[in-house]
Amino acid sequence: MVSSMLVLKRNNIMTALKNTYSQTSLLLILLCISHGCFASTTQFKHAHTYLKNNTYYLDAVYDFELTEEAYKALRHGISFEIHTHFQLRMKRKWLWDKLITEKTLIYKLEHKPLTENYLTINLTTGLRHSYDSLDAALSHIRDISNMSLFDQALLTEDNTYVARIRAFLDIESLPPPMRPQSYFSSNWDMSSEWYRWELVR
Amino acid sequence: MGISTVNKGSNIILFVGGGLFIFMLASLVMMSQALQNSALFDRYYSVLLILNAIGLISLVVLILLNLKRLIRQFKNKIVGSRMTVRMVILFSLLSVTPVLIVYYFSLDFLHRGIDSWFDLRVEQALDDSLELSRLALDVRMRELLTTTEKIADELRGISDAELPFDIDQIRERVSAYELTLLNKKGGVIVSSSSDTKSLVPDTPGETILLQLLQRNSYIGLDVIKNRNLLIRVVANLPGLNIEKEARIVQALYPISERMNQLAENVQSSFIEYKELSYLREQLKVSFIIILTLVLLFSVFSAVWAAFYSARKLSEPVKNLAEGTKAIALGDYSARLPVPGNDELGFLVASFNDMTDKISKARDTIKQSQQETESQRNFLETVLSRLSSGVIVFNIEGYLEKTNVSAAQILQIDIDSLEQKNISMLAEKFPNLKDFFECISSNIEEHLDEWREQITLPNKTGNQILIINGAALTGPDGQASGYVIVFDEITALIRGQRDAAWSEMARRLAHEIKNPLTPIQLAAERLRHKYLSTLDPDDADMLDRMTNTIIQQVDTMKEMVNSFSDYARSPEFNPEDIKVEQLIQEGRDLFSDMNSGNQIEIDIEPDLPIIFGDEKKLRQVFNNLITNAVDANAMGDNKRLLISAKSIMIDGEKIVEIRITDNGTGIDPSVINKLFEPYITTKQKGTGLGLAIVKKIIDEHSGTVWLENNNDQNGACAVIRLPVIHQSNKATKSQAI
Repeated sequence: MVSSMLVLKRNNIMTALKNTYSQTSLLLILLCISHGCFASTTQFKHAHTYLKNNTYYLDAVYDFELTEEAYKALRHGISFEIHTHFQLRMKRKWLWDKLITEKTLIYKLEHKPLTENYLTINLTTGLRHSYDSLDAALSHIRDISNMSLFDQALLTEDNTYVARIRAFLDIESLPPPMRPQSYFSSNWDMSSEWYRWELVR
Repeated sequence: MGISTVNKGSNIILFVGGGLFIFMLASLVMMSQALQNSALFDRYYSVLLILNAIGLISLVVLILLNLKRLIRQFKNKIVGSRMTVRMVILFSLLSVTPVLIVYYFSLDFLHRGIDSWFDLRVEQALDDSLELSRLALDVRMRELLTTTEKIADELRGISDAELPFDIDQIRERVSAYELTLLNKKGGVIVSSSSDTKSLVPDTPGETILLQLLQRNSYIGLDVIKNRNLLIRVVANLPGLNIEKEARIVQALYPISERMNQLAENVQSSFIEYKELSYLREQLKVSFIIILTLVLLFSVFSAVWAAFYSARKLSEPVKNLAEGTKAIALGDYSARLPVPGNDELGFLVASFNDMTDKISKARDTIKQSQQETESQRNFLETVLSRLSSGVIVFNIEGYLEKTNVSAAQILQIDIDSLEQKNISMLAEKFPNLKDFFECISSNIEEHLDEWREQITLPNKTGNQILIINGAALTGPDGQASGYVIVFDEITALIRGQRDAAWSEMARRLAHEIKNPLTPIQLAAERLRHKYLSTLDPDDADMLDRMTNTIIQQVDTMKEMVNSFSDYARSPEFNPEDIKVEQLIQEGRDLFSDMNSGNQIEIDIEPDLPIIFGDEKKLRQVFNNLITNAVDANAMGDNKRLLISAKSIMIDGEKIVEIRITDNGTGIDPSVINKLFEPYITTKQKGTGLGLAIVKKIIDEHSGTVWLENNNDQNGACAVIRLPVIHQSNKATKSQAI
């Protein structure tokens, strides 16, 4: 109920809700379910693309911290998949933006109790990196540099494009018993909003 | 068509329900597999969970729809709904109860089972084994640290130009996987690797570099480039100018395959146990969710199956009930679908056979009824057109049937005959007493056939009936009733009598009247020739005798003429006649005769004009007034009343003339015979006056009768003449 009230204050919707208690409660429950009762701390600091040899590359840095519950799970042998999802969309006047291309960078994060290391595995390339601290492992995941995105030929001069990127912990990568409650728990909401910037050829 | 649609709908429901059942069963199996870390279904766990929830909601919707329909049928008291309700409750209880019991104990076992996986001793053993692995590696790691620090010393003395050559030898000597010389910032100066495919050496992380800056060597286990476990040792190269010349060496040492495998096993077991202990509660929840899904799936499936089975089982019964109702309403066309080869199917098939037979029997009965009705109509038509009267009595003497002619002949209302027996009829109609007694006596004698002729007294004269009776024989050969056929033969008798009288008159005229003239002439000649020649005594006697002969011959002539007049039918000349005028003429005639009678007239104003022969009707009035005057002759109070008025009888306008005298009245024994020829109560008279009156009135389609006055002395002659409409005059004239 306390969390519900917080949401209520934050969204400043109390004034709009002058109906019965049950209606208010129902709406709050729906808000909690759809967005979580706390906002995620995951967010992009910066991201930009640059052209090199007719190919666009991405450099991006975002904040990504494990929640206490997630850290506990990691230390108990649960591995995570952290997705960084990039999309290039073409703006259109009357219709919604058209998806031109998209690319996803997936890192798997594990804890190795024998060595007390944290292992990151790039599931696209298969490259592994071992770190003796969680922060070092997360830094490897959070700092994206020189990520090849798409060929320049995909862009035309007449159009305006929107690049956007977001990062999130894939709930579906968790063990099945954890998934149902993870979808509705703020402890496992580690997804960022879309970070957007415009692209013109 | 309706039954076909119902079957089609039922098949669709069965198909949908079966499909949903199989889908949910497969989905639950996959969910169960996913929980057991099955790689195939692991990724679809959430989807399967949602699909199962949708499947369950679909089942609930199906059940609610069935329930709603059942409640509606129950409220509307649809046939079979009570049975369906009972069967649904029974099936549901039978199927749900054991499932709930299993669910309860399964939950208990689930909690106990999962809790039993975890034990403090096991956990401690795993921790210890992990620690043991670390310790086992620790000795080796310390040796390798010493070795690496020696290599660092050795490398310090080697010039940069020689390093690429010497580092390979050093690496091979210490059996390292990779040996790398780096600067303090992690930059590779020179490296040697046993893996020729590895072009880029592995570098230590920032944390290690930071640790080395604090002049501490680093040693640890690591996994590099998808290889097995390696021991990473990083040490500073001692140097004079640390800031400028500081270098570090990193050596990666492989560990033995066996140790690697054992360490990996210990680690994976440790991780697996830790993961399970972390997921302990979630696992319970997940298993409970699946178990609950299975329970709900089983319960809902069972309830839905109960609905379906109950409906399928009650359908034939419902059809039977509706079929029975249809038969009760007279519809034998419906054929019920036979549900199968079981007892219910046999029952429905028998019902169909029964319906078929009833339908055929009904058609036969209907045909027989139609034939009977046709025969009855035929009989009714024949009876109604029959001039003879027909009366049917049942064996108990009650009248069952009669026809119009019977009522007409007996001059009674036909409706008054219904539901009465013979004795009742005899009491109700005293004037027909003889008629019914005749029938009754013959019935009592149990005669198969009989024939009698009776005469019934009537106002207008005696009515002669000839009656034929016969017993009706039933199917068992016994008498079931009596049929009486009778005809009025009064007119026939009268015709025969009139013909006889006419013949007699003709013979009288021929045989008697012809000799009378010579007799009269002979008597006159005798008188004329011998009257003057005889002495006075003889002459007087001759005169008296011849006068007697002449007078009697005249009398005989008059009598013969009267007979001749009666027998002869003179031409009938009808015309419009005012009755009051004829009555006035009669009164004037008899007033002039000084008969001493006081003749009163009471004539209704605007009396209708009748159509008839004036001369003949004048003769009728003269005869009747003469009779009345003669009747008054003996009395003191010689009063005569002639009245006329119009009356309505059976919708026909009639002129009734009554001639009432004040005499001694008429003997009732002869009152109905006085219109027959040669019957008279007077001393004088031919006995033909009233016979002629009767004949003339008959010619005018009227009626005449005599009746004694009830309240006073004397008798009354009543004449009723029809007022013929102008349009019917020609027809009437031709008929007469």
